[in-house]
Amino acid sequence: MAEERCRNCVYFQPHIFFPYIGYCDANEKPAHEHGTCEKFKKVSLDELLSALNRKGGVYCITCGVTIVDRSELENHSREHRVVAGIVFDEAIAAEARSAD
Amino acid sequence: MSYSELSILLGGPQGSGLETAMLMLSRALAYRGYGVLADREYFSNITGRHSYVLIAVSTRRLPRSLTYPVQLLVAMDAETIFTHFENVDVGSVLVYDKEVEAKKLTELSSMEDALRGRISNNLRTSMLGDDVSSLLKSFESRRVTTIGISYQEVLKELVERFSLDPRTLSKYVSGIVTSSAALILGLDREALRYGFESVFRGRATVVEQNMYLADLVWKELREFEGLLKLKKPEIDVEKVLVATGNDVVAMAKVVSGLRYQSYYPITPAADESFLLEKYELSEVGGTIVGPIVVLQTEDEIAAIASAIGASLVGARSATATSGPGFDLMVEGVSWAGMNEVPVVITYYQRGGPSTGLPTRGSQSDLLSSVFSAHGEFAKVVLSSGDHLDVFYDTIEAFNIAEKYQVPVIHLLDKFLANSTATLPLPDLNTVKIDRGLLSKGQEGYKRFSLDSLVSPRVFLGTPGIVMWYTGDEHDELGHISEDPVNRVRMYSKRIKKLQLIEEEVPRDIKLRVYGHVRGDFCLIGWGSVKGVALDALEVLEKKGYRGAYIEVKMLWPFPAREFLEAIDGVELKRLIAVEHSYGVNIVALISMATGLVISKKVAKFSGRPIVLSELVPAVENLLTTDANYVVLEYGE
Amino acid sequence: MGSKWVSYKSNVWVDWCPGCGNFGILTALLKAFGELELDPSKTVIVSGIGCSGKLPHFVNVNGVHTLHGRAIPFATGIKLANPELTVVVCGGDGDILGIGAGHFVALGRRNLDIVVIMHDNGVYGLTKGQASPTLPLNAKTKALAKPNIQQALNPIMLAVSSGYTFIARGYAFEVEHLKNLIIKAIAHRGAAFIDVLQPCVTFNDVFTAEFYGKRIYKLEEDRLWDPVVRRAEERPTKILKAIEKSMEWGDKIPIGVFYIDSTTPAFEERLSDRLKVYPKVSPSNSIITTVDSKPIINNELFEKIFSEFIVKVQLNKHDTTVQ
Ligand SMILES: Cc1ncc(C[n+]2csc(CCOP(=O)(O)OP(=O)(O)O)c2C)c(N)n1
Ligand code: SF4
Ligand SMILES: [Zn+2]
Repeated sequence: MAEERCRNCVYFQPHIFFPYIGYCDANEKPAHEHGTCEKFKKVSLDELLSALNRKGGVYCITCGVTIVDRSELENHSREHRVVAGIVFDEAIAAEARSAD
Repeated sequence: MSYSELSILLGGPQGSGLETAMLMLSRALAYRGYGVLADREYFSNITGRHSYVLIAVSTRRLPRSLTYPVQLLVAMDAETIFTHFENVDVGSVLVYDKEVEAKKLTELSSMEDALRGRISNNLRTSMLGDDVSSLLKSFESRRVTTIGISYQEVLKELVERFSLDPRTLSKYVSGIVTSSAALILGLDREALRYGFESVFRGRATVVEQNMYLADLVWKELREFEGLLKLKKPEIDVEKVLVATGNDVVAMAKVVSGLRYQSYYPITPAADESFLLEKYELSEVGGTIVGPIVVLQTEDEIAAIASAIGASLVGARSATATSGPGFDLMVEGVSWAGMNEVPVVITYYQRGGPSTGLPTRGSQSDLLSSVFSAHGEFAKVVLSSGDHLDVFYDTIEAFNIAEKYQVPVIHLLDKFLANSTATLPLPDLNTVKIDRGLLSKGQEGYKRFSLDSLVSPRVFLGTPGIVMWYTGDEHDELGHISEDPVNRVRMYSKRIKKLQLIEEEVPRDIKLRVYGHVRGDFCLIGWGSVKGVALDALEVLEKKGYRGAYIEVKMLWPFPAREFLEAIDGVELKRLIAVEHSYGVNIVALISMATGLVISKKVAKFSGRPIVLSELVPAVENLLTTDANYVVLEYGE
Repeated sequence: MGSKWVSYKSNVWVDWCPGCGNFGILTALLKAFGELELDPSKTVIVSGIGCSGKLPHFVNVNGVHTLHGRAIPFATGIKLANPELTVVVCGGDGDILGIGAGHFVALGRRNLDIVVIMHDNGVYGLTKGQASPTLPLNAKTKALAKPNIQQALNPIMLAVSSGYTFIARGYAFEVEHLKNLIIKAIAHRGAAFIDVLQPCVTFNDVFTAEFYGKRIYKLEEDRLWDPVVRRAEERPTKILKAIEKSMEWGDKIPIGVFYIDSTTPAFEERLSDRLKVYPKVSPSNSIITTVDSKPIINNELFEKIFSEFIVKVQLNKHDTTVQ
């Protein structure tokens, strides 16, 4: 059974590039993957499905893709690390170079 | 040990702070008197793909070229280590994030399959495992000092101490990258602070937080301080510009008196127009500079058309684009030629055909720009070899455009556009603004008077004067005329301006010769080949080959006379043309203009810049074997 | 007034087909210029390519005869760089709504103070009568081998949704009426569009002078017709009315003003919010050199203006490394 650490908690949203740090949706503050707290709720397919319904999309860290479809979520969540949300870095807009 | 020249590579996912790190490090180095040249390599992607900066640092001069292998590799992620594994020197230094040690090649979702396949093969042949820790071990056997730093711990401490918003992490990761590179190069913390301050301008807390982070890095890596210590700088400059080619063009346009710039966004041109917008109106000490109207148009056709319109009423006007956009502008260029309109097109080449390699460099639009547009008419194509030349040539482009009333294409490329360089401040005392033959007009004014090749220009809108323009053949007044006698005179007038340009444009704008022409070889090139060619001359001289570089700056009209003078007495087989293209197409222009067919060519069309370490052996190869054509491919 | 407009004619022979609607448009334009007493040196007609494109040569004000479809962007550069000028664009329906449609839309979005007069003859005249974007589906004009397989667009509706703030329709042979529309359009501050129904005697045997003569009526004859937006809140209702009116096309075809909105700032005003000295100091009248042909930016100013790029070298005095 997975440890009761932020990493395995449904409220933990990892940073897009540095996933050990993130944001906790329950405590509404920054969090670290090794953190613990009494609000811990294990990531489960049901929780992810409900996040998918609520937000329209969840994120597979392993594949680096956004999932918007229920059956795709089921596939990824079997072996991959899927999270309910990620922290998008605000530097991306500034850092990005135009392309195409 | 200390170094007078170093190659550094910083790599990480696009969007994660690399750009900021590159700027901070370049500025900190410049502050301490070092010369820097940093090439930015990135995918056509907003975020996630691998991106890197290849930097040349010198204590002896402002660097002109890049080279491999690198002595310092700073990797923000596992992909960087895998991708650049083979780019590092024996005895070099790798700084990496400890968190990625267990990462496997197969886990890197953002890597392209082709590269993954190549790396995988290489690992297999070298009998290496496919995870980062196996690579680390093999680095050790190459006497590479591998320095792991736990980004996680540093960031965690920072986030907790300053209750940072995780959305801002990248800013601090740039701080880790910059601090660790600075520490290894032996830069002091005051220089580092300067780097932070100049990038996080007016954000004192971010600077302090990054300084705190630098302290953490220093504490953690103390034993490695000065591992690649730079020697004392001996470059004789008090002030330098730290700028990209895009920045330099924009600054030069402001100085040149540009008053109208139109653009449709495209890489690698758009940054120039963004910057111009920032400087659209300046007021310093009572002097007003501007206004410059910068207009984002609906497409490139409108960009050239409106720039021509603005020129008709007397504004110095320009547009900036790259290949796909220029293709759309071509009909407008023809109109400008027909109507003798001065307009400047800053053309940043990138990898074609089509959208090709949109964020990578090339010089493959030489012929398509020289021969662009239907009909015959005078136009000028100018190129520039480095950032400082870009500055002066941008102003020269406007002077030529107005003096001869022709469209001028200033042909640059992505390498110049996006690389950040330290360069001396331009000396504006040497700069002239030549607006050509202007007049206030008189009763019966004829815009296209046949009295001289260049007819006196009255701006449209001048009181009391009325004039006509048309893309159809026209008489002296600008009214449509299909009369054959008029046609012959008008048509010839427009084309003969080319002769005038050939006669009058100073030699230095047309062509430059560096080194010993009557030595063992003579490199011939244009544009961004300059820096690496000049450095190659020096390296080759040490190897016993004396040579020259002939830089063709004005590509059209081709300076045939100057070219023939320059190579007078040189055997044809000693001439080697170098270009970022497949065809090395300068050869075609030369043979068209002079009848000489150069058979030795060095080509590079991988989209990456020619580096010194590959150009030197290529030239040696051409000098010592029967080979005629060498294709360079180095760089990821 | 009177015959003052005659002096706006140039000496160039007008080479349109006898009976072409373009003659009406040209005369209305000349009369409008005459009535407004426009300074020819401060007025520009910018045209595209096509029969209509030749118009500037027939008028004794500045003329710029440009590329097919591109009159609007040429005019945009002219107007932005010298906002003092009165700028009128003349183009065909193929020019403005076919090849140049993107520019037509862009001008509306900018609401730049330019008048666009569209010579709407339903055909590509100068290329011998192919269907233009205003020729209805299944219409078969005489140059077409088969009935038109593409639909027409509604120019008024497109102008409304693009953001034009003066939108009208005229008829080439209602010269006085058209002249008045042109005068109003020139007086309006912002992007103005006049769709001028123009019989093409040679190629369009469907939309003839006879066809229009029987159908057109003037909007202003209806005393209740009020196309003017006086307050920003009225825009949605006035827009809907204009659109509704623009769909009237059959036994009765309205001409006149469909929409006028003076509450949306013109592009010049938006620009002068950013460039404080504009439009008084503009790209065409601001100085760019000193008397001795130097740039107005000298070394000292350069360093001040571009200070963000300049690094003052501070060698590290404590550095004990050798050179
Ligand atoms: C002729 C030409 N001009 C410019 C570009 C550069 N360019 C690439 S994508 C793009 C705009 C993309 O915007 P949009 O169409 O809204 O697509 P989005 O990225 O928002 O999905 C531009 C201007 C190009 N490829 N070709
Ligand atoms: S539209 Fe482009 S830039 Fe915007 S989120 Fe999607 S991929 Fe990123
Ligand atoms: Zn997955």
